[in-house]
Amino acid sequence: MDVYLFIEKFENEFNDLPKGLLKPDTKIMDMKEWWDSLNVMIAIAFAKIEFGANIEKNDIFEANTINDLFNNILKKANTK
Amino acid sequence: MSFIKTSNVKISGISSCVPKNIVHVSEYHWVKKKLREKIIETTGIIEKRHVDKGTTTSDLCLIAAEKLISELNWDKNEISILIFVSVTPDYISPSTSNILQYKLGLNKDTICIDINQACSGYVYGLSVITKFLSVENKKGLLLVGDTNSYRISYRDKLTYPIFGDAGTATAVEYCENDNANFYFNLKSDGSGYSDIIIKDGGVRNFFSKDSLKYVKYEEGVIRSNIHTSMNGLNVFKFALREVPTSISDILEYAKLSINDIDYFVLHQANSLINKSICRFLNINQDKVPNSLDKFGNTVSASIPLTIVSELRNQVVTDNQKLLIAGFGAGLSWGCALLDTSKIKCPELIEL
Repeated sequence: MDVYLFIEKFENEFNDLPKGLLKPDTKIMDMKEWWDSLNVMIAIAFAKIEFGANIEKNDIFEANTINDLFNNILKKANTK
Repeated sequence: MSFIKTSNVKISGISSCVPKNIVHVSEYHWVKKKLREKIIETTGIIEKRHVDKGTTTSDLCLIAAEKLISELNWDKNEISILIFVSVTPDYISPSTSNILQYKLGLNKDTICIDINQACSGYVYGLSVITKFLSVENKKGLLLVGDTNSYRISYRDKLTYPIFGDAGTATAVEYCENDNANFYFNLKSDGSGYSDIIIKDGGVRNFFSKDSLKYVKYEEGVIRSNIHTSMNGLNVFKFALREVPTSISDILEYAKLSINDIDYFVLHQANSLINKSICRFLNINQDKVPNSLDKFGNTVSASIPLTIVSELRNQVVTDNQKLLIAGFGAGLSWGCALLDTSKIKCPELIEL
């Protein structure tokens, strides 16, 4: 999976995220208001379902961009 | 050892009792409408039931048990064990199982045990009662329920919209010629004990005037130390991390595959957790009954309540192979594989 497919699938998980909004260089903290606790959970679930990755909240917020988030998830892919 | 296999025992019936009083999440005015809508969308909880003040978990279980004993035509003198599983007992002491033994009119030879487990409680209770009855030609009652509405703060957006009340009864009996086996996979991780906790009222933190003080922890989260405190994110991560593995492991242990299971009855914590577990394991959602929309998270009662409310026709008219999974406070989790054979299952009782 490349980052563009990642973004497409990621956006599909959220009803309150307009499709096509995210780009690889979109800054995570530019969406600070959007990252409420429920959206964090949905993102964590997405990482588990798509990549078998057990990620932490920090894996999201320590990422600078969406591309960084994609790479953080890949690093934990198929972890038990 | 976390795997247990039990033979020569069967489930004869399951019944459930819920309060009539319906609480709609859409009317939870402590949070703004937009958040209410998002809670409903993410958790899948539209409404739940709360008891009236004075009604306890044991009251709900008592009604469920009386109905089941009557439908089964059981002689109460044949019941040798009563297990009550709950985190909302009548008293700190004595055991609620003793009170239920008396109220049900069971004889003095009855073994009474309380088990303090929350959302994994049904699986744990079933493991104990089936093991006991597998070597004893007797009958037993597993009474499981919670009234967590007493233990949640209206001003806590993390818990109030989630929890509902229910009581259940499961009849289990020795059955020498039954070929069915029960398989259990039971797990614990006490390092997460504070992720779901009621801090005051035990002997670690005695109940005091301070126990009733409301404290603001974050926006929309105000509660006292006699209320349930839940770190939702930690519990969510725990469930996603442990439950799929636990399900895969028990299937492997029993030499079965996902396709061999008729229904997966998961603890009803929230629909995001259950849908995620199913998507990860490629389980067809049609095989995963859901009662969250009607009853919310009823803690230990959620698995038997879901069987009664969503699978009643199936378990009454046919044989079913079920995989049940409970997970929550402790942290504690467990799965069981069980076969039901045209069991008695009275219609859901409303009190």
